[in-house]
Amino acid sequence: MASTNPDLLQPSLTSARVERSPYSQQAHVLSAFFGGPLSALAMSGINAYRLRRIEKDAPWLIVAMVLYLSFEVWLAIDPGGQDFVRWAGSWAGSNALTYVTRALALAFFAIGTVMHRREHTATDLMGLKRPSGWILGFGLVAGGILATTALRNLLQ
Amino acid sequence: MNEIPDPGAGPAGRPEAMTAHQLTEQARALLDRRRVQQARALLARALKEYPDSTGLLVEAARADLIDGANDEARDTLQRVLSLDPDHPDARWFLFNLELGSDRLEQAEALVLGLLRDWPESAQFYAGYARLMLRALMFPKARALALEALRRDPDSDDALRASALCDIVERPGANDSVALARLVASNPDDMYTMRLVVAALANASRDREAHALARELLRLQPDDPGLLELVRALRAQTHWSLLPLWPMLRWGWYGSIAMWIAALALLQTLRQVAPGAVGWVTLFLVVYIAYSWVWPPLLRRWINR
Repeated sequence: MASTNPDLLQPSLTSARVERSPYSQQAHVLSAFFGGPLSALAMSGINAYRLRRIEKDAPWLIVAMVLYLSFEVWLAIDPGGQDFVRWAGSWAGSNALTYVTRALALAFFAIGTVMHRREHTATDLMGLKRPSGWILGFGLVAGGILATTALRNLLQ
Repeated sequence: MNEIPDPGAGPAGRPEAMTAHQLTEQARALLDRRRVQQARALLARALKEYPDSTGLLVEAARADLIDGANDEARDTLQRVLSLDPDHPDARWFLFNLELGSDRLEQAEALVLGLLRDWPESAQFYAGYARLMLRALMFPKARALALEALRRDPDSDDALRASALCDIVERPGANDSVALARLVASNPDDMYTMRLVVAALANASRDREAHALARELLRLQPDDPGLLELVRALRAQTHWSLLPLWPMLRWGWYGSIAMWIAALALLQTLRQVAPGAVGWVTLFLVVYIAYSWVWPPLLRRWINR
């Protein structure tokens, strides 16, 4: 009985193709919470790169990035966006915009982890070692805050 | 299908080779029952008499593998392959050793070689599926597991590989057909039961996973991996973590939902009962501190 798919017996692993385990969900969620949507997307992109699936994830990462930038432009320039800021402020006070962008960042985290769910499950099931997320996490938080601040200053 | 030769058998008609074969069978039976010390003593005596018996050397490597002496096992298996480059058991054990040591390229070369020589072996397809899962290459792992099942629908190795794919690919996959068939045919097999624990834990059924893992530990108290699993599940199901149930059940999604609920609660209270805001904020701060500090302390206490 021959193999139904002869490609199955072709080697798939070279040193460049061996997959690397993703950063933990904890590192991802904390980067998103404190660093904002840009940090969340950056961490998703880094995990996609580590898992060799950047081509697969690029469409949603680009859509999410465009969505976030459009949201910031809408808030800064469009009268409807400014009305939204005022409405949110009347309900949640001066931190309203922080809460909204944080919620957006957490939504991006949720999408990213759903996209990489199999990889996270397999990493835990197979007992693979994950890289430490401390240095990258701090870097992404600082970078995310700086980039968001610079973007808002630019738009104003 | 090409038959996989019996690794212990020597040329027919040579009494000393038969004796080596018998000793190999004895050592194998002892190792199957995890009587490693007895097997080691037997192998030491037997190898003095038959130093080049590939069957005895493979069992010696197996004893090393069980004890976690991977380097010694690798040296012994390489020696077997220098004596008999086609030895299937030595190649198979070496594949498992390389897989366990994260030397994935070497493991792939070995399993592809085995599949070239025994293209009908469900066991080798299943081994390759496990390697692909380890390399996080899910479509190929699934295709190989299916191929293994196609070759031998009742093969335990094929069913295990298929069950592993089910657990990884489907959230809360405690309804895996492959796993159900494995449990039905091997209700006492440790590896099968560990797969059941993994499936239950993956489906967030931690209490059932903990109860089953504890039973398994009673049967195999010297298994460090099992002990670690029981401790982790014990911490996860400890009564003092009951207030963290949403986080334990749904992970970070539960935490996000709690954060949104807390924000909504505080904003509503600001409108309807401003006097309560301070107390609720204090409660939330204590709750957050507890959720960060207590679980790692509890794990450390359980692991002490």
